[in-house]
Amino acid sequence: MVEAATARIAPGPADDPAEAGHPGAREADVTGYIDTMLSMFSQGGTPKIFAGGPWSNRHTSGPDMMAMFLTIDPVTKIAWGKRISGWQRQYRTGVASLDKQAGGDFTKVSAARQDKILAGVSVSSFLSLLFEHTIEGLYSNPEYGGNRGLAGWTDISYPGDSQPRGYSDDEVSRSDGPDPVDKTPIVTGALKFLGAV
Amino acid sequence: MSKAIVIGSGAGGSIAAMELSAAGWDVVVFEKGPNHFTNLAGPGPFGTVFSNDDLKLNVRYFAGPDPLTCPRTWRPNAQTAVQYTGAVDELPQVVGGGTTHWDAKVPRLWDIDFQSLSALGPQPGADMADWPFTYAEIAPYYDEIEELIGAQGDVSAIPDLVLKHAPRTKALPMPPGAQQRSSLAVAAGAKAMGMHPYPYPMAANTQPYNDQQVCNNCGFCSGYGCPVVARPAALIPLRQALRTGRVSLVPQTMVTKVRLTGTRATGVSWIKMTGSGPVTGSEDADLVVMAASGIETVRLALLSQFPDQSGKLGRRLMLHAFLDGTAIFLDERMHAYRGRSITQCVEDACDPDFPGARAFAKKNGLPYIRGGIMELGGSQDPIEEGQAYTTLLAFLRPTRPFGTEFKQLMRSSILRDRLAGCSLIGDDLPYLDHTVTLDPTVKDVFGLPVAQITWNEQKYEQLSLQFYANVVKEMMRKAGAGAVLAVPGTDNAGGVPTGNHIMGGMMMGADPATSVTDSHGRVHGLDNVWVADGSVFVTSGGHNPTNTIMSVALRNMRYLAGQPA
Repeated sequence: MVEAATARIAPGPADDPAEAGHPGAREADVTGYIDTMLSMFSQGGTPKIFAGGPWSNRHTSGPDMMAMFLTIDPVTKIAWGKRISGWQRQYRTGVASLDKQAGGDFTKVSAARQDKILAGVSVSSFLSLLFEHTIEGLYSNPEYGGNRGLAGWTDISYPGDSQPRGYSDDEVSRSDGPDPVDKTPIVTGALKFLGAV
Repeated sequence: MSKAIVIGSGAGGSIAAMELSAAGWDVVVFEKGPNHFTNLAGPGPFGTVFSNDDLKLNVRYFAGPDPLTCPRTWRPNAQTAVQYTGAVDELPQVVGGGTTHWDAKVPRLWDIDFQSLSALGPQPGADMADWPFTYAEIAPYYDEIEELIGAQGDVSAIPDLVLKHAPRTKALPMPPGAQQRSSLAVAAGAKAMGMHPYPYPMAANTQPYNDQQVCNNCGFCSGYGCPVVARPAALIPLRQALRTGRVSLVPQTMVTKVRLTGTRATGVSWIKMTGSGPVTGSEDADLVVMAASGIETVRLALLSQFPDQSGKLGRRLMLHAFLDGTAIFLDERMHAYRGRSITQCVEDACDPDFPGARAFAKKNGLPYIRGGIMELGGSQDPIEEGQAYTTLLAFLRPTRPFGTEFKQLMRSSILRDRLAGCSLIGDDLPYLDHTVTLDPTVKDVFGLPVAQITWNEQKYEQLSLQFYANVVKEMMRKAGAGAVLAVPGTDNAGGVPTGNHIMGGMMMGADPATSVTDSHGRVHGLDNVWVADGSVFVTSGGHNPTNTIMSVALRNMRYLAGQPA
């Protein structure tokens, strides 16, 4: 169910024809991110709150030190214990509410109906939470369980973590050349809202 | 020999530990937060688990504090109830303090910042005052800090106006590093307006320095800890302190009280969390130096029931009035994810005689207005970008504020890859009713009252932001941006201050009737309690404060270390 809802929030090719060629929440395994997070205290071992460091070596060779999650201090453990139990409650209530509004099973109704339910006032706080976690699952480092195959970053032309390689001085200072923005209606609307000259 | 306790391991505390240990004091440094570094005592490079990780640093409070366990509260003024409980202008609480997350900007305050009252005159409603020393007196300490922690920059490129107000006699120890494309683009706009941008002085290595690596332009700079520790800052004086063998560093331990007997401190009480709950203890000392950062030092002074002869303890809180400028480039991606964040600055707006500023002030009933340093360039990372679009979509597409439109915005990247920021760090005047007090109801994880912040922009700050919003927008247009926006930073946070520049509350001054600490930061009315952080500031200036925090701490702690124990 969470997979169906997050796929409406950030659709992929299978969810919206406008997204052909563009992986979405499903492809990036946003539910993997959410499951990893919500079960951080029930998996045993170090809770997956802070990925390790100083780097992943994904663009170089060597061990992925981000995959070794960091031991947490007792105050952090208290904070995250509270946060996760709160979110678990919100997910239980939120999922039940979405299913109820869909007449029993959110996954069985049409995409248009799913969108309408998600946009409804009665689920707005759960929508914000799901949206927040969808964004995190798409664009956080993959060690947290989402952004599978760097699908989230690739779709937005973002290379992600760059250590220990970094960038050359020329890459920092140069112009990458002309690259006009694709002025889709939503982009035009946003630019106007933001103060287009 | 005698024993000193230093509270906090950041910009000020590290300097206190270095100076006192060099003079033979045994020193215990208490740090509330954890330690994310290895090899602190050296020699050789520091190790760290800070990393290029947006989620860890910007979402999950890795540098702390977590607002669920250590919140603050905020209200705009004393007539209004608390409007927000959570993260209010939190600095990192970790070994190294604010110098872990900073992007290491080290501009200097101007001469007129130290003598605001005598040089510029009074401002209605504000508690204007001069510092107990001039720029000329602090300048050698600036030189020494820039040499100590390793600053980059090109003095020959610093404009005459800046050198007139903050003269230098020495070159910076390292040349400037690569200039960001986004910074250069906005700087071109600044030049086209007749302003004078130049490479932002930064304490980040462009050469091997202090046994540490050179910055490799990874791009995860402001808000992140440096994974290669190319901007070690407070870790350098901390290392010098530890290498004397007379200093012990105690992380994850919060000082809850400075214990007073009459006018003397006898030591501190502390608390730390363990897996089975809090543990408390105490430590005796002959001297206590407070450097927990502006807000937390005041909170501790209040918890310790310090004397308050002037009635100003916890007052005159200054947080800077930020202006958030956004330039969006429609024909080019500015890739601010590469390089040190924000490599150009312009200081013209610090001048009360900026063209048109004095006339605008007078027309609105004020003698003058000042803006602050403008940070040219930089951007944000994808998680923050995504969050910004959720807000936009709620306005633009209320019937379906998600879906392909969200992903189209992410791909267009108008608020990340096409964005070049322009923040102005606006002068924030000292007001007696901008305060840090103990919140009457909200407690931290240890059951202690949290800091309640009372602060908002007053007429001076509002007028200054209004005047400079037009300047910034014009500059961004001249830079070729296709969309420009400039709003007060608090507009983006429902009024809550978020700038991470904390000054005032324990104001320095010669006269105990009008200041909280004396001309060298000793608390008036107490024999052996000193303050060595941003809380001693008398005015805010319009510059990143860390260089000044460290330089003033160096001046004051060297004076203290020269006193008979």
